[in-house]
Amino acid sequence: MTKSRLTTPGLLLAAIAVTLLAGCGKKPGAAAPQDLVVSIGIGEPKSLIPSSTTETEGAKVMDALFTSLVDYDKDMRPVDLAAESITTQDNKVWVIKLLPGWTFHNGEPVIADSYINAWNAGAWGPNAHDGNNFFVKIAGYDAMNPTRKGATPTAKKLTGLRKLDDLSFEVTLTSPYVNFKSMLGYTAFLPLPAAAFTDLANNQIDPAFQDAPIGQGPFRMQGKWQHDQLIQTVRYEKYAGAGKPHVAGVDFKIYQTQTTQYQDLLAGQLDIVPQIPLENLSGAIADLGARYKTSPASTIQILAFPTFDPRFSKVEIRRAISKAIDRDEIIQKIFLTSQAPLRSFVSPLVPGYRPNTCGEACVFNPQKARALFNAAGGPAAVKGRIEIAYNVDGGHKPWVDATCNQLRTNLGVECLGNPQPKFAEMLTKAEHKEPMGMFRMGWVFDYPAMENYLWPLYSTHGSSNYYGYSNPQFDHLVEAGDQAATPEAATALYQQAEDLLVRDVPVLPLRYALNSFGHSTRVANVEMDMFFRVKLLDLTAAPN
Amino acid sequence: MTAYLIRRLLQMMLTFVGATFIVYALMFSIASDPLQALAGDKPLNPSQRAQLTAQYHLDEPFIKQYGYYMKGLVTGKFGRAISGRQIADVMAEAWPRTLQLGLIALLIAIVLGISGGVYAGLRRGGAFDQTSLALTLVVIGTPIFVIGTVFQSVFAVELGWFRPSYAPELGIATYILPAIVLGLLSLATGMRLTRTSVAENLRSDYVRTASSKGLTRRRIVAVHVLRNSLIPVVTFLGTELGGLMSGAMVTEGIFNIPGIGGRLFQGIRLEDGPLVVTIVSLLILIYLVTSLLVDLLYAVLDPRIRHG
Repeated sequence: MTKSRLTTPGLLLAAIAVTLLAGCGKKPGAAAPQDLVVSIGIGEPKSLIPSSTTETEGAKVMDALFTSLVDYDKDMRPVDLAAESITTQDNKVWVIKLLPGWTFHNGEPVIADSYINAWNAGAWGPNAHDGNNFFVKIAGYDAMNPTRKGATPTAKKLTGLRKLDDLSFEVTLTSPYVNFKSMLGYTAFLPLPAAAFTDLANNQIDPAFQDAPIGQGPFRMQGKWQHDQLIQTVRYEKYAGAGKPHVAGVDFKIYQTQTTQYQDLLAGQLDIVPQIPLENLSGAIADLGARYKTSPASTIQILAFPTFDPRFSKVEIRRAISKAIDRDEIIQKIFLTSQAPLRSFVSPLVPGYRPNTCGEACVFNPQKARALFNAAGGPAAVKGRIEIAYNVDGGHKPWVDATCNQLRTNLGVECLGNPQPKFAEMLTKAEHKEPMGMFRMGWVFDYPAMENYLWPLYSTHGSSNYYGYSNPQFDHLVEAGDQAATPEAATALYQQAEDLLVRDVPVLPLRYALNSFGHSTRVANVEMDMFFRVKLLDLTAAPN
Repeated sequence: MTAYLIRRLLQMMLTFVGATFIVYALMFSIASDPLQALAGDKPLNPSQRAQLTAQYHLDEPFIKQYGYYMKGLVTGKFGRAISGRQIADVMAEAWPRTLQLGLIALLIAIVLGISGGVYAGLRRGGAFDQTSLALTLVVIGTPIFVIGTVFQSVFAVELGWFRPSYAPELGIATYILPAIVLGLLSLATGMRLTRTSVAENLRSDYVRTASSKGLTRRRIVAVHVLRNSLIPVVTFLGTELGGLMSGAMVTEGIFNIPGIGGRLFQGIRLEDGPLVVTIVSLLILIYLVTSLLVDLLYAVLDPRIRHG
């Protein structure tokens, strides 16, 4: 044995250390405020074509690259943004006038055709865009979307879109829809430049387009989408919007987990974490201080009672369960106030929202709950056991278990969580009417309108009404609201519909989500909107 | 030797085809509704469902779907993952990263494991031997998830020696911390194995003979003991490369390395048969090749073994 052999591990460690130190040399230097490039953590987007971007990660990037026709004021009413005016006489035929002077990042002017072409491509069934359903209200949609397998569409363009001149076009809906202007703020209604298409007549978008999308927004792509790693954007100097960006660019860094985003924020490698995961929340409140913030977001969390499960057929049982749940305690203990209690059937962010529409049924009162429960038959009525189904991939176990504990204590009935591998599997079970207990659901709005909760969640043919609630009177009121002459008249009808839900309690409102975000010391004025997006035009460099 | 090689290669082909078939069948059996899994909590509209079902042949029987997949594999067209990207592109981006991570981890395991093990074996019962025994037991007993998170918090966030996440601009250095975490278990096992093997061989007859012939201790250890002690270690570490890469899923997740681990996880979540099977097939291929190499190395290390 010699000395040299002895020290081999030591030498290797030293070699690793040297390599490391060399790697650490590159630190972001202090930049002038206008030159700051802000990094924001996101997950890998599914798509970067506007009409196919319906999930929140892609929408964050779209918000940098594109500007929608409308924005929303503090009362959540739509206001013109890229549009000069959006007018209608009857809520059925809408005339959209564009602001002049807008250009795409490649220099093309933004004209009426930019919108018409993009919407036609999104509505054309064979493209199978995720946002396809958003065009369903426009005349001519059905001919482009046969639902029978193997059938080919009989039309390639929406008959409801008509160009008036270069900067204005007319949209005809199949029936009057009072919220259409609100709807236009959604990602699916963004324009596309002619450069995006390989074959305009056949609605063919260049597959390479989404690796470097060209928009008309405040930031333009720098290089290509580096899948699973990075999307870089820089300020678009010819941006025609009223607000201008105060930073030089935004880097969207793509992460597999939010926990790693948070570690990077602590290590100074990331500026903004839009959603701090629950497991880091207590640390974040201590570590970040004033750099940890919350703001309202549109997700609501509800517990649904499947109508095909006889255990929940009595409304008294449903009320008793609701009254036995202490929403505030779960929010404080489990969510560390990163969510807020919900006692209405729509989110507080929509015009027409009224607090506590659920009334007494959502007030925690263990004594009354138990009395009501026993009067309705007690544990025997639910066959001795309540179950709450949830998808295990969403981090729902802690609150489901806590809810069950409350039901066990307050109602004196056995309660168990019923874990399901995926949300899709819960849906399949609901479709086949397999009993799995109550099940959890979340709902994010697409645009701020009461109808965007009422119709999909509670109407008989609602796209997400998996529990089978059906009340013709309710359906009628919502439809009447959609066709009302003014937003105010619509709200009154929607509110009447919501009142019916109070009577039937088809679901239990539990909580609504808050954006709980954190940022580095390099940036200031970090705010988030109700779509989980950082307000990019507000961002500034932190004063030194 | 040539006959042996040919026989082994033929066996490999058989194993490969059989394994892909089994994995494809397993994926097919767990898939309930890949399109809904892709859409998440939102419902899928009927026209989109009809389009995608036809595009991915989702309504066709198992054997036909497998046929499409194998046809693609043979003609070099892997097709599209259910998320819409070309599988070939995903593979070309992800594999090099996982390979680099796995190789660096293996290198760390080999160099530190063997040298530490030899040293511990030579000084059996000494301070180094005792501490390394305690440490390796801790490593073997701790889940990799915990080790990864702790190392990330301590060495990257608190001390700032590394980046907490993948940073391509650092080049190969970005893999060092994750590779240490990933290689730690192999390192610990390799070290215990080497140590026992060396300690045993030191007491064997041929070592006594060699020292009575007057050979220096240095020569005895370097030429005789080491060579004989390495046989079990080579077997272990050789097959470990495949294990390291398939085990990279957790490490890649913690350190945000966009390698195959993340793709595999996503593929399983979205019930994406073609993507999962492509990744697993390549993993199987690596296992097969490394085990062949190990068997060939065997003959070099141990002259008593002859492949015929």
